[in-house]
Formats: sequence, C-alpha cells, structure tokens
Amino acid sequence: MRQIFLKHLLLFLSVAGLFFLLWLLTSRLTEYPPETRDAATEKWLQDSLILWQDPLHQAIVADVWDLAGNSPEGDQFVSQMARRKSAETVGEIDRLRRQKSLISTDFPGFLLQFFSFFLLFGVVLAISVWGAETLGLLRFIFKNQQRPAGSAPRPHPVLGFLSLFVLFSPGYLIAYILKPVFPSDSALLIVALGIFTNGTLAVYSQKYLNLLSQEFEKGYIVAARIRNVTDSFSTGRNQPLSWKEIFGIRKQFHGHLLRHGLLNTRRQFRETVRELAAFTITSLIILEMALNIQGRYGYELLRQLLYGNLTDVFVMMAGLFLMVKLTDAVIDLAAFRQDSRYLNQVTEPVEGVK
Amino acid sequence: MTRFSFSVSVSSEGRNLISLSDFTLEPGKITVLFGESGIGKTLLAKTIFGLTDAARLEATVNGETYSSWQQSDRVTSFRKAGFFVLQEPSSQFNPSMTIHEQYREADLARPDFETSILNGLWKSDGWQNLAGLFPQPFRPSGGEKQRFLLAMALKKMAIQDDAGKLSPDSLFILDEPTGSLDNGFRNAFLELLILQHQKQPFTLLLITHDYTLIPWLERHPSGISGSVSWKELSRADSGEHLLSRFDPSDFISWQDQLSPPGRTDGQILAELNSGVICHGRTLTFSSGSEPIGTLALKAGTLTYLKAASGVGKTTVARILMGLYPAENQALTLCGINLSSAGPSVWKRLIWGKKASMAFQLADEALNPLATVRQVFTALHRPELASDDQILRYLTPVFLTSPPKDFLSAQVRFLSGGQKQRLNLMRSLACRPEVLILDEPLNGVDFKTIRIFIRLLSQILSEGTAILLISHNEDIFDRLTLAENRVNLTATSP
Amino acid sequence: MKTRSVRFPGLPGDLFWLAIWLLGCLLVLLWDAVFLNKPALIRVWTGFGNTLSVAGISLVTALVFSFFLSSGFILARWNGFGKLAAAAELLLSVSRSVPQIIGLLTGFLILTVLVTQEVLTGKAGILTGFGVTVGLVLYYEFSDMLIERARWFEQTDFIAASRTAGIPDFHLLFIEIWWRNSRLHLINKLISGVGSTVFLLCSIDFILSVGLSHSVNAVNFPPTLGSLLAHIDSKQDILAAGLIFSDPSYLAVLFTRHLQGLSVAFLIVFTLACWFKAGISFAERNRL
Repeated sequence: MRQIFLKHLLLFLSVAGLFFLLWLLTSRLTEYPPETRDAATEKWLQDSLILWQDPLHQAIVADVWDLAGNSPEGDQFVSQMARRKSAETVGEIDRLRRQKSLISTDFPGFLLQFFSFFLLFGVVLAISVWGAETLGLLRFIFKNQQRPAGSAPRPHPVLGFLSLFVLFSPGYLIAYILKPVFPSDSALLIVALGIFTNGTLAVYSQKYLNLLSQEFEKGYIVAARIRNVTDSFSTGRNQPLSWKEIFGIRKQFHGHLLRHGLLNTRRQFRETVRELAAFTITSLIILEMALNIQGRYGYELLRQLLYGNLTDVFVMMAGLFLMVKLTDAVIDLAAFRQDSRYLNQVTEPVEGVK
Repeated sequence: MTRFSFSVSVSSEGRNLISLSDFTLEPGKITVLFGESGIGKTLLAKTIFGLTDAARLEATVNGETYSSWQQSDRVTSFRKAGFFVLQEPSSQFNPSMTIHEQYREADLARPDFETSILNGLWKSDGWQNLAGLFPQPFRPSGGEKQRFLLAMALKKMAIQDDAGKLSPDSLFILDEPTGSLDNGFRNAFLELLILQHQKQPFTLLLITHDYTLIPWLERHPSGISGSVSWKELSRADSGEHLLSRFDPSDFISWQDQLSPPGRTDGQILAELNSGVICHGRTLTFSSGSEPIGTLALKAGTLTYLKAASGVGKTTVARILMGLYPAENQALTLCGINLSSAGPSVWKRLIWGKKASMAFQLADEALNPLATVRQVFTALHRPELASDDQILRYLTPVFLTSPPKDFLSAQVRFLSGGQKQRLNLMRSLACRPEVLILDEPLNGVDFKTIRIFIRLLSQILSEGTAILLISHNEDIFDRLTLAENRVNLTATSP
Repeated sequence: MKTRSVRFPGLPGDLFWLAIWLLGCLLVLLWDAVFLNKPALIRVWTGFGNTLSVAGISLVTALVFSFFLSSGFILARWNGFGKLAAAAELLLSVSRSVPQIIGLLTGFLILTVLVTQEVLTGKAGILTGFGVTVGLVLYYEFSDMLIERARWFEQTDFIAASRTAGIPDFHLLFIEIWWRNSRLHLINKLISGVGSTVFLLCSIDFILSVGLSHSVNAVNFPPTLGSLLAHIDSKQDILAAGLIFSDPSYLAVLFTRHLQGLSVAFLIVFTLACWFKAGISFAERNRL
C-alpha cells in the first residue's frame, strides 16, 4: 500500500516539476527584451500628444526627425517608437492583469473553486461509471434476449438519430441549444452534460459492453452453463433479472450466469474508470471554459491563461493533475484490496471445509 | 438411429470445421476418441452437447438448425442428466469466485459425496487447503484444477445415481480429462470412474491424446475393456473427416518394442547445478533415489526430466535456455559459462545457434497468421530460403514432400499435428548441439508419435544432446536408460 | 455475417458507416451550396478541411512518436536495458496520467507563444503545429496499444520460442507481432483516433476562440470547425435551434436561415458519431 502512495507521489512530483520547467520556459519566452533608452528618445515617448499608431502622426514625426538631421532615419525611428509604445501598453495591460491573479489576491476563493470542481468531478464520475455499467449491461441483456440471432432491438430511427446526436455532441453545443430554456451556468446542467454528452456515456458503455461480451466468451462461462447455472436473460418482476438489480448500484445477480461475467468485468473496468476520470476532467473543463461560467475553476483557468498569469495557470493545472492522481490512488487502493483477496493473500473460511 | 447417433456439420465462413454423417456412441458404454489436436474432436462434442456458439458458427445436427438443436429435448436432457468436462482446466474456473463456490453451484449444490470423491482423487485430504482459494494461474496447479473439474463430473454422476436417474441414457463427456495429471492421479481418477460405471452404467465419451490409456484399460482387472470402444478421428487428404475404429493392439505392440536409442558416453554439452533457485523455489535433481550435483546433458543422449505436474520441469528448461533469471546458478552450455550472461550473449552465441527449444504448445510457439513458408524464412537461414529447400527439409516429418501450396497455408489453418511438426522442425533448423523438447507428443496422433520417435533416434545419432520433458512416462521410460532419468524436486522456503 | 450492416447485408458495418459519413457530408455540402452565402460556405468547408487535415497530422504524429517510444521500450526490456525501459515507462505513465485538456492547454500555450514570437508562421505551419500538439497528447493511446500487443504475446510462449529458434528481435517485433498480428488493432485505433482528435481539436479551438490570448485568436489562426462554432454568427445559429422548444414552427426556417452554425455543429457531431460507429463495427468484424 505504501508503494502505491509512493508511486503516485513520485508521478505527481514529476509532473509538478514538468509544469515548473514549462513555467520557467514560457515566462522567459513572453518577456519583452529590454531596450536601451536615452533621455532624448524618452522625451519623445513621454509626449502624450503624439499618437504613435496614427499614420499621420508617424509621418509628421518622421519629417521633423529628418529635418533635425538626426540618425537613424525618421521612418526607422518612428517604427521603433511605435513598437516600444505598443510594448509599453501591452506591458501595462499585463501588469494590470497580473493583479487579477486569483491565487495571490483571493486564495480562499481559489480553494473554494477547487473543491467545488472536485465535488462536481466526483459526482459526474460516479454517475458516469454507474451509467456506463448500467447502459452496457442493458445492451448486453437485450442482445442476449435476441439469442441466437444476437442483434439488439433497434430504437426508432428518429429517436436513434436524436440520441446519437446528444450522446456525441460536444456538451457546450447542447448547452447553447438549451440556452433559451435552461440557464447554462446551472450545476445540474453541467452534471447532465458531463455525463450524457461529449461521447462519455456512449464510449464508456460500449467499453463496458465489450468487456462483458469478452468475458462471456471465456471457458468458465461455458463451464457454469454446464453446471446449469441460470442463463435466462428475461427481465422484469419474478424473472431471473429484475429491473431493481439491473439499475441498482451493486448489481449482484446471485445464482445467475451474469454474476460470473460481471465479477470479472468489474475488475477489468477499473482500468477504464481511470481513463474515464481523466476524460471527465477534460470534459468538465471544456464545458466550463466554453460556456464562460464565471466563478468556476475551468473558467478561472481560462481567465488566468488569458491574463498570462502563468503561475496561477500552472498551479491550477497541477490541481487538476492532483485530482487525477487522487482518483488513481483510490482506484489502486481498491484494486489492491480486491486483488489481495483474489490472489488468495486474504483467505476466508469455507463452510463445510476444515 | 439411436439416442446417441449424430450427423454433425460445423463450418465458419464457408470453411468446413467438422463434418461427420454418422457419429454414434454405444449407450451405456465408454467411447474413447483419439485424433490429433485441431481435428475437431472438441467441436464435435461441444456441438452435440449444445455448447457451440450459434451466433459465430454455422452448425447443423441431425439435419436441424443449431438453434433448434440447442432447444431440443435431447440437448435439454443431456444437460440435465449429464456433464461435460472441458479441456484446459485453468480456463474453466472463474477467477473471481472460490473453487468451493463453483464446486457447489447450481446442479452441484448438494454437499454430500464431496469428501469421498475428493479424497479419492487426491489420495489424501490435501484438497481441503485448496477449496477456499480463488483460482489463479499457478495456484492451484493445472493438475489440481483438473482434479476439481473431474470431481464435479463424478459428483454429478453420484447425485444422479442417488436420485435413481443415472442410466445409459445419461451422457457424460470428458475432454482430455487426464492431460494435466501424472500417471498416479490419472489412474486414481480412472479407478473412481470405473467404479461408478460398473455400479450404474452410463454413456461416456472420453476424448484424449493419451494412448498409454490403452494398455492400462485393456489390462484392468475389472474387465472394463469389454465396455470400451476405441475410435479415431482423422482427415483424409481430400479434407474429409474420417471416423474409424482404433485397434488397441497396434499401440500395445508398438509400445512393447520400444528401446533406448543413442549412446551414453558422449561429451557433456550442458550442465546446470542442483540447488538453483528460481521464483523463490530451490530446484534439486536426483537420479533414482540418489541426489546428483548437476543436470548434465551429453552428446547423443536423451535425458528424461521427470517430476509431478507443477513442480517446475519447464522452469528448468527455461533456465537452461536463459529465459528465466535464477539465483545460485552455475550454467555452462557448449563450453560457454552462462551463469550471469545477459540476453545479448544468449542471442549472439546460443539461441538459434548452439541450442534451441521446442515449446510445449505449438499454437503459442508459432505465429498463427504466418504462412508455413514464413515460419522458416523468418529464421534468415540461407539453407531454408527457397520453397524447394523448405519442402525438402520438411519431408522427414511429413513422410512425403508436402504439396507446394502447403507453404502458403497459414499456421492457424493447420491441424495440431502439423503445427507440432513445424514447431519441432523450426527448433531443429539451426542443427543445435543441445535441444530441449517440452512435451513433444502433446496433441499428436499415433501416426505422428511414431514419426517423432523415429526422428528422435536420428537426431541423437547425429550427436545432439536432448533434454526431454513429457508426461508420457509409459513411452519415454522405455526410451531412456535409468541413469538418464533425472527426477526434479522443488522446495520453497 | 453478424457484423455486416443490417440494411446492406453485403457491406461490412465499418464501411457502411464511413459511406454514411461521406454521403451525409456531401448532402450538407449540397444544401450549403444552395442556401448558404458564398463567404460562409467557403469558411465552413475550409474549416472542415482544416479540421480533417489536423486530425490526419495528429494521427501521423501520434503513430510515429508512439512507434519509436514503444519499440524502444519493448526492445530495451527484452534485452535487459532496465533503466532505459524504466525511463520510457515513466514518460508513458506521466503522459497517461495528465488529463488531455491539460496537455492540450499547455501545448496550445506554447503554440501561442511560438506564433507570437513568429517562430511558427503560415497556415500550413500553424495547422501542423495544431496537429503535432494534439498528436503528442494522444500518442500514449497508440503506445499503450502497441505495448499491450507485445505484452499479450509475452504471456504466451511465442516470444521465447521465436527468440530461442533464432528469429531476430526486430523481425519478431516489427513483422511477426506488429505487422502480422496487430495491424488490424492499429487501424482500429486510427479510426477511433479520428473521433478523439476531432473532439479535442474542436473543443480547444472553441475555447481558444473564446480567448486564450490577446495576441493570438481566431482571426490569425486558420479556421477549424471549433473556431467557426465559436464565431458569433454560429453561436446565434445554435441559439436559434433552441427556439424550436418554444416555437416549433421555427423548424421550417431553421435549416435555411441559420445554416452556418448548424452545418458546423452537424459536421462535428456527425463525424464523431459515424467514426465511432465505424470503429465499433471494424472491431466486431475483425474480432478485436
């Protein structure tokens, strides 16, 4: 267990170090090279009457400069001045923007945003995992109800097209379509979009279905059928597969062939949950950024990017990475506990056996 | 037509996998079915028992579509009253449920009969330490899993018998039931089976490659041989499946005339010390009851490495070939000290040059998507560059030169025996000084066994040192002198 | 066969979905040609072309990068160069655990700086930059697949048997494992990669167009479907689609009056859905 923590800590530190290097690199690249200034050019620059970006002003200044017999030539001097003035303006804007750094000005606010994003992520991830399992399982059951033909019942074409459209749409697209009827900054909408759109449910339920189908091709399923373990896929009350169990969280299916397949599918799906966690973060950040939802972590990350507050940006990115690592660590711990059992490192007494 | 008469046809994407117009089992009798692996024995049995995947294969049984056969009363009664033990025991257990949970599931829920059957199969109560385990690849071992599977079949027989429902109408199918068992446990299982069959006869189809069952059953004091019919499934050159009676005396007389080939005074070409440690286990060698300091392989000599299943025979072979790192190791091969050599040394000096190994499972050892030609051209040997050279090279194991289009056939479409022959010939291509053969008779028919044994004599006469691993003790004990039989034991700290 | 299209039994499901995609895009093009003004038409279809080009570049980048990394990792492991293999594994592990959006944002941040500093210029250069960035974010998926294929064979006797028979490592890995036994897996990965790249590119472009930098924006970046979707005209078109909830009769004019945004949205979603379906059908057909 210590090794699991060490592994994740090492990875987290490696990536944090990588962000630090990138921060150093990008701050160097975005710095404006210092230019030598003398008193004469400084005087010109301070003159508030000259509009350095105005072509008319530029022409007048160039002529005056040349008439005075200065070097370099007037056009070159004017373009130098215009560039310097522009750099000063941008620099000023940057200075103002840097003052908007969330971490240095409102650290508790930053923490609040971070934790509310973490909560949102947790809720969306949990429901997505359940949704992917349930939808994958339902599709598997429908497919088996059609045996031996083996094809699942098809929805009405229009319904099929609409569901495909929603499931594969980027979330922000659906949010814009729903904007007239649903405010796009609602947390409920973000949760729903995080689960249903961006291909999340479609892709991960398909992965679950693939894993379950692969498990059902294994020898132990045939061996269980030979022992006459129930393999009817009829659904409903008083049927081998009850809706309550199908939509339930634990999905046990004691005494049914599904139990055999599900126990192993769940172990395999652990790795997919890891992938899903990273994708959920991507998906939520995209939603918050694209929908410009103020006061949220994703939006704030975008704002700090816009202001060029690289320190904030890299701290926030490290925060997202920390979430991924925490999820990884939780999955690894669960896997460790489960595997210890399945690898017979934790033995349980067996009834009827000494 | 009887209850056990079948006309079976299975194909996949237009390729005929098995087609037999008359496959009949005698009710109340034991039918032993031989045939090289991949010929279609398992598919035939699974199809009859309703276990073939109808969505993937096109099958008909007795003229019925497969889905209607699966739902027929006959299949329902087979499943209700009988049992099927599938081959490869490791894949038959759900790794997420304990063995005990699976052993007492559905039809096998009744707890009675368990202890006597398991004690009989283990010849002790050693199974009790294993019942609560989740099955993992190496624990319980393949042989132990096999015994649990066989115990399920015996339990079903006992439950049916107890309910007065065991009869010649009950069909039991055992596919390679003894493939992972050494002779002691194999015989213990057969004793229990014979006992049950003599108490209340039932119909049994036993699929096997273990020809040494023949003398054992033929000479069994219970007289069970009268209830056994021997059959062999083969393919004609035209590709048609043939089911014929196998004459047990053919094998018995062939086996009786076997004698050790090669010589015993050859130079030592490979040496591995006793006490080498691998995967936390100390491996020691002995000859008879005397411990020996090294496992020495001599030129022109066949050395037979023996141990119960799961002890580590293949591990020793892998250490000898530099595939497993080992501690406390002193290893020399063809005069080269390889005790601490890395993979680059093995690649430069040994693999495919001085030593090679034919692995147990030809299906794994060869690339299924490569053609026969590519199996040999991949070796980049100038003497195996053209089609004619390859065909000439393969002639000894195919008795005649195979047709030229054989070289364009993909490995996955070959029979098990053909694959095993290619596997052996590939490892011989470099004319190795040291050759390791791991279960070379695995999955082959009697015809191929004879070819292999002949080839073995020829290789030995050329001065190759051979280390052999095989559970076919009844054959290889006759082919080796007692001094060249090395016993392996493993101890864990 | 089960994996064939139900509607066209002779056509494999993957080709069916690719044909549907092409046909759908063609219909939208025809519709746009009739109802959309010429500048918008050019913008939409240039954006579509750019998006597909970036997807292509990113897949090639991902493939090339993952090929070198994976082969280095596997050959190092087979030949006992543990430290080299560990370094490659760490790189992969880090890449895998950074959420794609973080990788992309970082990449685009660097890209923005490069464009600002005029290191990266011209439409082709910027599109290549996009493609390489997305490719570097996605490469580990290809590496994982290539390594997974080799691992699968490592669990069997195949590699040990081939090496002891004298088959060279390069032949074993490149020809026997990857070429003969994994090219279908690779094609499948490429098909699913199209969806991933289009989704990520559109999303990042959308965000970028909302305003990643004051000196680089949609005006000086070549248009893609994502940046076009973020364009105010397109946003209004999408918002207009929402009006049908309150006024269903608006549906009658929606597809002629708000065509730019709807075309862009349709092309994004349709591409994602069709390529996803094609990927599933391909995997089913080849039993991957």
